[in-house]
Amino acid sequence: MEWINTLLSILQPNILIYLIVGVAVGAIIGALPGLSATMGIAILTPLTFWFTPEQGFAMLLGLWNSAIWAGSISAILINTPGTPASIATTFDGYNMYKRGQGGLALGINVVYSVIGGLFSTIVLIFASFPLAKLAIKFGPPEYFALALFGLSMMISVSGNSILKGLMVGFAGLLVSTIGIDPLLAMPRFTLGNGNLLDGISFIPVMIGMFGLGEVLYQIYHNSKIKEDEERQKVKNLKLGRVLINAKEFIRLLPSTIMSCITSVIIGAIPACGGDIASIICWGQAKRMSKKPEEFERGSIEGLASSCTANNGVIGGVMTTMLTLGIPGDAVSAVLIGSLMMYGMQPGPRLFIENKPFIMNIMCLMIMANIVILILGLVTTKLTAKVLAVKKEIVWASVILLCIIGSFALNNSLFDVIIMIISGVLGFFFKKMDFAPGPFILGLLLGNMVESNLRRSLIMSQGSISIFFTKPITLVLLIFIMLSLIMPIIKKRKQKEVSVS
Amino acid sequence: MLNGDVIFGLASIVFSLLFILSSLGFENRTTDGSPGAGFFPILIGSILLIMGVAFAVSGFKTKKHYFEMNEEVKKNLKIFFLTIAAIIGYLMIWKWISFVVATFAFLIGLNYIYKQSLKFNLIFSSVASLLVYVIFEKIFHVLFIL
Repeated sequence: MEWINTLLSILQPNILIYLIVGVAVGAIIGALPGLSATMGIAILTPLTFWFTPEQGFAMLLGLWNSAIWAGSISAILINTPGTPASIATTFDGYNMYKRGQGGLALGINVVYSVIGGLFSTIVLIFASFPLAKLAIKFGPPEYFALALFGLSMMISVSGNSILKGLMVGFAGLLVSTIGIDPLLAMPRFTLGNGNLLDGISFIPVMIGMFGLGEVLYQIYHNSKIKEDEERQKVKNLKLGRVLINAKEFIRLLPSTIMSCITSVIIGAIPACGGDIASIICWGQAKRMSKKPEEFERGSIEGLASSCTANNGVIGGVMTTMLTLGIPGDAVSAVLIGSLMMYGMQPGPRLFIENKPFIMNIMCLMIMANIVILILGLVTTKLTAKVLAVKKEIVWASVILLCIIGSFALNNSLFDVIIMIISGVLGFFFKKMDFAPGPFILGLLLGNMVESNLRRSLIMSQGSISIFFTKPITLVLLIFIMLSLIMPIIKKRKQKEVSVS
Repeated sequence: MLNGDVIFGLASIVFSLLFILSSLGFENRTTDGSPGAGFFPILIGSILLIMGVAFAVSGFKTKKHYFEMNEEVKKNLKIFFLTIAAIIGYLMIWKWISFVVATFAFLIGLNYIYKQSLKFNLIFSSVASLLVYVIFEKIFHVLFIL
């Protein structure tokens, strides 16, 4: 009954309109290569400051789900993933387009993204409340280990070098110490500047690194020849039918179910995002398939499994984010910032203090997927035209939105300056193969890591044995060590294999 | 000798040293023995310092360069620096003239840098400035005053 009332409260025009706007904006952002869901949410978050939490999250969740779905559009039509999660879509989607089945590929993208999204939302609804009840028993040692676990997972999967990831993550932790000490309330590293008393605001840094930084990188690497070639690709080929038939639907059922379950589990693990999930699910679908030779040549099974996985991770990511307050990827890191903007702290307490809002979020996720299904199928062939938008228009628009958005947060020029510095830093990070994710997470989780570490040491009167005597903490610390050591061992083995 | 990794390693060393040296002025332990304000920055700064040294040393060995110059990159660099100059210019003029006019001038400048046609430039800059003004100042009541 409670859920029905919540669903009915969401179906109000003043919330639905924001959801539809979010889905539409997300479709444009997702379809355009170079713009990511993270960038879209980072830029739109300050705009939602004036909305109610339900309206703001309707827009942001609509954008997130839609951008992930739409990222596969450019993957199918021009072999360039619109978002990192769509990498696996290029394996089969583009080949389907080349043989005149572009419409079918786009239709599969819509339908199976929605199936993945809805399944993961149902898991979120059933799993998050019991998990929150468990997490409420967590104390400072558990929260310290959890925050460190989230950071270590992000480091281990980002980029080619663990050392680079660690350096960037620790730099983020160090920057998070600027401002007021969380336990003693004394200023640190403020240089007498009142603007720094609140610390380095997370949202302008996000907007700078993922918005301005990305634009600067695209400007630096702009190639007129490549752009004209891509535009030509979209013009030339026909799209054909959009919907799958009943026979194809039944054939795709086993791999779809597998992708749904796998992607939700992967999404729940911090730092394992859509790109990892879609590649793993694509590989699994190939192993399960009766026609594995079709994969990488335009297999509808391959395409459906990767599209399901892309959106299937979202519910898993949300489960970890809402119940434990640990972001699973860069997008959820920004959403945590959005929640904080509304005065809410993600974690088990949120399920007690703001239960109606949590239920609203879950219903919004369901509605977002339904809106994507309707909008996606109706505008399938139209969304292909989004790729014809010139890069220069996107650059100018994004730069303006970055400046306006970061100023509008606190009416502060200081935030704009932080955004610009972060943008330049983001450009250098990207150019020198440093993933910005660990820096953002370090900045976001730094306070949680420090305050829980110090509280734990106060509880144990300075003894570090507290981290090894609590079972959950010990398990998490072992996972942290494994997440950092395993990639190094794997890399060494790969080197040995290539040398031999 | 100085390649990208060495420069970044040295920058990390300087960055962490700044935090460590500033933290020495804070209490590392409070009167009851619990970790003070300087504890965490010194801990993280020290770890980052060690990693910075390791990275700089590995940079000397690998000699990896990230910025290769060709004709296309040289052209793009000009646009890159002009974009940053335009952003800084925008923030400076915003203080002296109205927000809408500053935004219009900024967009005109950006589209000129990106070699868009005059007609497109004027239409885009007018529409975008107006939209931003209506949405942010009129609907969201953001005061764009510096």
